Amino acid sequence: MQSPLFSSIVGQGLAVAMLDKALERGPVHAYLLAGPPGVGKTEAALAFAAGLVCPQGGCGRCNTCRRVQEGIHPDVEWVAPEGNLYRLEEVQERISRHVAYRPYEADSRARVYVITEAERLRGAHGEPANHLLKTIEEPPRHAYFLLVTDQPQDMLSTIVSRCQVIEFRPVPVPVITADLMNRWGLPQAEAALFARVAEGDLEYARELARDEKVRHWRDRLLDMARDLPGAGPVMTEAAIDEVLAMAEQGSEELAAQMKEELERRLEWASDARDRNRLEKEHERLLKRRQRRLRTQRLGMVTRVFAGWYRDLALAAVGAEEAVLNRDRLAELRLAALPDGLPAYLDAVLAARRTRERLRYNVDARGAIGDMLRAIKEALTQWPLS
Amino acid sequence: MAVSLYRKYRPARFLDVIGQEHVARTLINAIKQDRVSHAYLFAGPRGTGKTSMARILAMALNCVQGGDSATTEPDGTCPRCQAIREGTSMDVVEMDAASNRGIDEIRDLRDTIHYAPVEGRIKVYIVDEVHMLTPEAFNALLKTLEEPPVHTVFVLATTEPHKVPTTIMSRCQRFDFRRPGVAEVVKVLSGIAAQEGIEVAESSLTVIARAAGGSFRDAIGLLDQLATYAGGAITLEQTLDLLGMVRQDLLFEIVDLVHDYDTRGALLFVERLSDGAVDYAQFMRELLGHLRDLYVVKHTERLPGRLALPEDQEQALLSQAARLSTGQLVTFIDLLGEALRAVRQGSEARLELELALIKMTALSGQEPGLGEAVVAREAFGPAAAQRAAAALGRGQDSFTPLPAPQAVPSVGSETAPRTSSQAASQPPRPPEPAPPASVHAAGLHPPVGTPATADLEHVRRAWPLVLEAVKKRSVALHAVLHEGRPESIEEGTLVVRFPAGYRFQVDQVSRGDNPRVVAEAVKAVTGRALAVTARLAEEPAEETGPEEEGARILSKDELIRVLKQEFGAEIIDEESDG
Repeated sequence: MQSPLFSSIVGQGLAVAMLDKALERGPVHAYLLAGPPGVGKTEAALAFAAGLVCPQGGCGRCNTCRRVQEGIHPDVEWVAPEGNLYRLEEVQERISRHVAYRPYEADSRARVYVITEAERLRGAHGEPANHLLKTIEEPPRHAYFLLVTDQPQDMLSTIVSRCQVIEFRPVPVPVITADLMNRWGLPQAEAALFARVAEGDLEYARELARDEKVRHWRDRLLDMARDLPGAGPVMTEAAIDEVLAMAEQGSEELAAQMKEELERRLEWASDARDRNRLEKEHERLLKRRQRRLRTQRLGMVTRVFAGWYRDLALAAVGAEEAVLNRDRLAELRLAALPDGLPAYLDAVLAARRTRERLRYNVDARGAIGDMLRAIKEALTQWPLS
Repeated sequence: MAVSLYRKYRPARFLDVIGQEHVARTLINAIKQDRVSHAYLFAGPRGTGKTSMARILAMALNCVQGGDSATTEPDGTCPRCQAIREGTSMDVVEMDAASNRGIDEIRDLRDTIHYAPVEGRIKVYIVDEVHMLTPEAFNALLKTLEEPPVHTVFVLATTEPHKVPTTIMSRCQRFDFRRPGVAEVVKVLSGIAAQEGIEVAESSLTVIARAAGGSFRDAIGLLDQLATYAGGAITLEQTLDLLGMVRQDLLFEIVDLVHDYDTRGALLFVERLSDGAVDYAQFMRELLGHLRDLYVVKHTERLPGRLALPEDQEQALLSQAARLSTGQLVTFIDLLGEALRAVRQGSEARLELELALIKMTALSGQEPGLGEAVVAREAFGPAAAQRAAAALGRGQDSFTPLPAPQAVPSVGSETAPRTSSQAASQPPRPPEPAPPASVHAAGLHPPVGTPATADLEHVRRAWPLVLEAVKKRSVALHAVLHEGRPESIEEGTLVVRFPAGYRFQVDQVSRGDNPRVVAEAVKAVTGRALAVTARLAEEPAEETGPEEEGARILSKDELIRVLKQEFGAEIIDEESDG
């Protein structure tokens, strides 16, 4: 019987089976959850952590399980890099300094460290990762490490070989389609479209299904990509503004939403020290979530742009069956020229470059502007008509 | 907590460390002759048994069995051995240099080193990941390492010996742990499986051993995981599934599609993959491995030893290798490598795979609709024009990788923008000599027939990949090495030439372990065992050698002249740029 903790993770049969078996038979001390973004790694890490900490071994119903999955249990330490990379001090402070302590809560069975973006443990010269080697290899009895990464090839091999690797795969299109239909009640055609567009990224597909705003953004971005070759400088500027507004939107909503949550929790705080701790934690969490949200939004921009020009290239060589944006097939057919192939590739590359730049927190306005200009140049230089 | 298998099955006797007999024998003889050195350096890839060997040595020196002297057969069960295995012995200090890397930790060590052992005969200091020590810490260790008290033995272990200072190195006896072969890993795995009562077929073990890339720890970890996952007997399907391995026939299929320049087919193939849970990055890595196998098979006409393939696959591999031209293979490897690099930097794998396939099938070859475009794009220079024409005439075999036409000035002709946009989409690589076949056809070169020249061509073409391989070992070495280019092969030594004035780079490349690192990379990529030496050019290097005619950068005037001459172009309006 599979633990109910994993019930919301779809399309990861193998990974879930392994984690579930591990809970049943006794886990090892370190796991690396690796796979593309948006397929449920973090969700699975929290579920697994709940199973490790929960006094009943992962019932999925008790207070402990609930708090772990909400990310507010003191025995599950959520570690994320504060800057671009982990710093040695950060790792020492968040992990090694108290790894030897027993769990805080009397009925917790373990302390779990969920280390997200684990590839960034490399730090500038590999110190954070190397620092953790021994700890991860032979930690105290009650400590477990769950490393999460979507860039496993960037990890130090000495770390990887000390962990049991749980591989997450892109979710197959049919599985996403089914999930969108069953869970979110989408009609089949729409579900299939979003599943395709998301290319195995369940999180993005669910966002498209759930959030009308995100759907609208996708439409707007596709329009922009379509109209870019003919757009003048004023229009391009307007497009940049719009894109950035898109990326910022939601940040404040998130802050307000989390503020409410904090106040709710502050009411339960016992003393000033506790309040202080909660506030600090809140700030850290907010900052992280805001950063994540923004990165996600900007990622969506480059993704939609890259997707559009990729589709143009595919349409140009007659591989229409493989087009992602099926809903725009008519427009794609109209716009795609067999001669345009090199230009389309250039446009895709420009979007890709921008995506890479954005990962490292460069100025978003500059990066997006550069992208639009580069794409425009690629498309207009080429004698397309 | 369940103890993971690789900790449970740490070997307990010298000869139990599989694949490292050379180390074990030497140590055993040293013990027999009472000539145990005071400092050892164990170097080798991860999971090859360095720490295990160090612990065994500690046991051998301290085991009760030995009475007053060391024994070659520690029993592993006496209290002292037990304590060492559990890491609780007072006399065996296991230090992790990665987290205790500063001078203070080393000073602490020096302060305590003079105390005699508590229970055993010899104090053993095992310093793991020793390359992580800071330079100051290394220096603090020097004196101690040279003349430690009689009752101490140091074992330094590292995965990156080239980062250990030579001053440390010369004070130690160095042992290189080699990567075990697939068969040896399988042997260990089946031993463990038998003891643990895991039912598993040998074919599965082979797959695991290959996936682990010569690391016992990884291999045993995988077995552990599989046993957990399967719950009962482990089948081959489960193994492949767990490792995310791609079915071989898919690899053959995509290479065939590329060979036929079937862009549409290739893209639809990718589309088909998306219905299953395929990890595109993994697919690309395996495809790259497949291409490399093809490449090796093509040039040696036999299978590399590390491949243990069933008969029919062997045939398929040989026949596919025969169909493909070297140029096509190299370009594909190049493009795929570039794509993987992009994936590593966070790009989406599927997109990169598609880009590489489009470039491979539609933009570099003989797609009918684009054939003329290829000629036009290649036509900057008389030689290139001839070459392109020759390429078209000669069919599959004379596939021509594009010269990277960087910085071609934009003139008001139709072809120029095309080229500059092309330049942007080309992966940056060092100027590449044209492949021998087509150069020959254009009559530019004396025939390339002698083995050394052929080897050189081979190495040059693979050079970007070699650089890539070096980068994995040492970014610093890569940074200096990429300034040079392979110049010649003289009696089994590859000469890498650097432009005049690049003395620093030459010194760096020649320093310490570096030539060996480069040589290993060359071996890994091309299969050629060559020594490597760096040399400084006497006069400032010219930007282009005669053999690089095709990639030469023409000035605007020259370009116009060539266009006029070759194509009867006329200047209509000089200001019609863009």
